[in-house]
Amino acid sequence: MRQAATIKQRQANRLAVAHRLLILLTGTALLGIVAMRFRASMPDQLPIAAALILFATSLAAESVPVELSRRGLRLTFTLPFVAAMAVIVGPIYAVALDTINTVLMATLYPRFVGKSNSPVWVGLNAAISANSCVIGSAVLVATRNLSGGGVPEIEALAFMLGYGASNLLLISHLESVLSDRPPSESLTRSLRLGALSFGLYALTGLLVVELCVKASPFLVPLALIPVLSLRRAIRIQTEIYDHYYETIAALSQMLRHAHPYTHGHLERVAIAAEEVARRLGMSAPHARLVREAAVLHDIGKIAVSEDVLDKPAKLDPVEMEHVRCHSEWGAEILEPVKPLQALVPWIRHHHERPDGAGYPDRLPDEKIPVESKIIAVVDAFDAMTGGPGPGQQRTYRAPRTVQDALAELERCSGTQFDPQVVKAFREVVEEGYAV
Amino acid sequence: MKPDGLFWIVFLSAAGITGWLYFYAKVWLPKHLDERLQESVKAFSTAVELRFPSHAGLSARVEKLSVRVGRQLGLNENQLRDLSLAATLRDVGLCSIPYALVNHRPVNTWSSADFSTYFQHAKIGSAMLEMIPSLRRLAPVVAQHHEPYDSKDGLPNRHARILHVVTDYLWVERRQGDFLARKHLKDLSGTEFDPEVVQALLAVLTSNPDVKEREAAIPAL
Repeated sequence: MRQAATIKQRQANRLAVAHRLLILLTGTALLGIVAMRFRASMPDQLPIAAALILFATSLAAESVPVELSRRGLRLTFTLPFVAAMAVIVGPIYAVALDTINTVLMATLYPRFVGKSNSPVWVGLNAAISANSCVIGSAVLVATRNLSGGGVPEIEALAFMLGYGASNLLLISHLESVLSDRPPSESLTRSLRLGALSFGLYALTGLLVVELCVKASPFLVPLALIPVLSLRRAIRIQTEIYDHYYETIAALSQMLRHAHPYTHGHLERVAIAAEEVARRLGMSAPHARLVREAAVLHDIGKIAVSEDVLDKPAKLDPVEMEHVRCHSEWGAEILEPVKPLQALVPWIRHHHERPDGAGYPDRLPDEKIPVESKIIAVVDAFDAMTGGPGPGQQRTYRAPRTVQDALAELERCSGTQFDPQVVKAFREVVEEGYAV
Repeated sequence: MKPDGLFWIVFLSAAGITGWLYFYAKVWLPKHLDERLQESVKAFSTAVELRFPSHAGLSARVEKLSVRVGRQLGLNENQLRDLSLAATLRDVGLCSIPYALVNHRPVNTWSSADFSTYFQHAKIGSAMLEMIPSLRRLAPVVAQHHEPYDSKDGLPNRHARILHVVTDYLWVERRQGDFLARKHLKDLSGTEFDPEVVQALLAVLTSNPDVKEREAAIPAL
C-alpha cells in the first residue's frame, strides 16, 4: 500500500519536474535562437544540395536508435550530420534540423514499435536537442571569430564538443532528477557510455564536413557506415549489459519459486547493503556488486529442501548439515558466470563468523571478506525483522521490531558479526534504508 | 575545394576505425554475448542439478545427444546452438517442483497428480525464460519439450520434438537399458514421438554407440 502510494506520488512528481524543465528549456532555446539570429553570420547563398542531403541522412540515422531500456534512454546518432549542417549551412539550420528530427522521430518511432510517448517527453527531448544545438553553435561562433573562419574542421569539432557536453549534462541532470540518484552517478555512467563512441563520433563529424567541403555532398551517406557500425556495437553491448541483470533476476526468481519466503524484502535490504558498502569506503561499482551479492547470497537454497527450511521446530543435525550446504552450493551455482566471479567467495563465506565458529570453512576473522560480513549482517537483520506479508516471515522465529533487531546485532557484534559493519549498518537503518 | 592531405587523413582513419569497429561489432561482441549466455545457462542448470542430484549429468548427456541428433537432421549451426541451449535449459522450471517429490519418492509410487505437478515444470520454465529477452526465443521449446507428437494443441516445434525424444530415450535407458529404450521409442513413434526424429536418433546411436558415455551414466532413481 505504502509503496503503491509512493510510486504514484513519484510519477506525479516526475511529470511536474518534466513540465517545469520543458518550460525552462524551451525558454532558453528560444532565447538562444534569437541571440544567434543577431550574432551568427548567414551564408550569402544556401548550399541547398548539401542541406537536403544532410537532412535526409540525419533522418536516416535518427530512425535507427538504440534503446537503453534499463535507463529509459534512447540513443540516436545524428550529431555528425548536425555538426556539418551547422558549419556548412548555418547554426540556425542545425537547430532546426535537430529539433525537427527529434520531434519527428520521437513521435513516429514509438508508433513503429508499438509504444506510447507522451507529448511532454517529445517536447522535452526536442528542447534538450535545441539547447544543446544552441550551445554548440555558440562555441562554434566563438571559435570562428577567434580563428577568423575558414577552418571548417575545427569549427565542427567545436560544435560537437559544445553539443556533446551540454547534451550529456542535460540528460544526466534529467536522469538524476527523475530517478532520485545523485547526478554524479548518472554522469559517470553517461561518460562511460560516451567514451567508446565519442572518438569515432568526432571523426565521423569531421568526415562529413570534409566530404561536403572537399569532395561532393553526395558522398555524405557514406558516413552512415561508421554510424551504423557504432550503433550495432552499442546495441550488442547493451544486450550484454542487460543480460547480466536478467541473469541475476532469473536466478533470484528461481529461488523465489523454490522457497517463496526466502526472498522477503531482500530487495530493499540489498539497497541497505550497498549503502553500508559505500560507507565502509568502497567504490560505487564495488558497492553495486555487494548489492547484487546481497540479492543472490541465498541462491544455494534452491538446492535445499523447502520442508527443512520451513520446519517450525529445531533442526536435527542431519537437517542442519543439509541447510548449511547452501553457501557452498550458492558459490557453485555462480561459479560459471564470469561477470559474477567476484561474488563467489563472498557468497561462500557469508556464514563465517569473526570468532571462527562459522561455516563452511571456519575462517578466522581476518580471512573473511568484508563483503561477506556485510551480507551476514544484512541477512540476519532480514531474518529477524521479516516482512508483514504472508510468506515473508521466517517460520522458526517470531518477527521483532527494528530496534530489537539492531540491539541483537550489537549484542552479537564481535562474535557473530563484525563490529564496524554493524555500526555502519545501524547508521544506514537509522537513515531510513531497509525498513 | 579539392581533397587535400587533411581530407585523406580523416577519410582513411575513419575508414580504418570503421573497419575495426565493424569487426568488433560483427565478430567479437556476439561471441562475447554468446559466452555470457552459455555461462548463465550453465548456472541455471547447475542450480537445478544441485536441487535434484538424481538429475545430475543427465543434462549434459541430453545436450550432447540432441546436438548429434540435430546434426543428423541437418540443422544449421545457429539452430544447433539454440538446441544445445534449450537442452541445458529445459528443466529450469524444476526449481518450483517440491523437493521431496523428486528426491524422496521413487517415480513408481507417484500418483497421476504427482505426475501432473512434475510436468508443470515445462510451463514454469518457459514462463521464466519469457522474462529474459536474450533467451526468450527458447521459451516455446522449453514449454513443449514434453508435448507428444500428436498433441491436440498442434505439432510441437522441431527443437521440442527432438528434446522430447532424446530425454525420453535417456530416461528409459537409464533404468531399463538401451534395448528397452529403443523399443520404447519404436513403439511410440508416430504417436508420442516424431518418427523422423526417432529415425535420426536410432541412426546416431547405431553409427556411434558411445558405450563409454553410457557406462559413465549415473544409476537410476
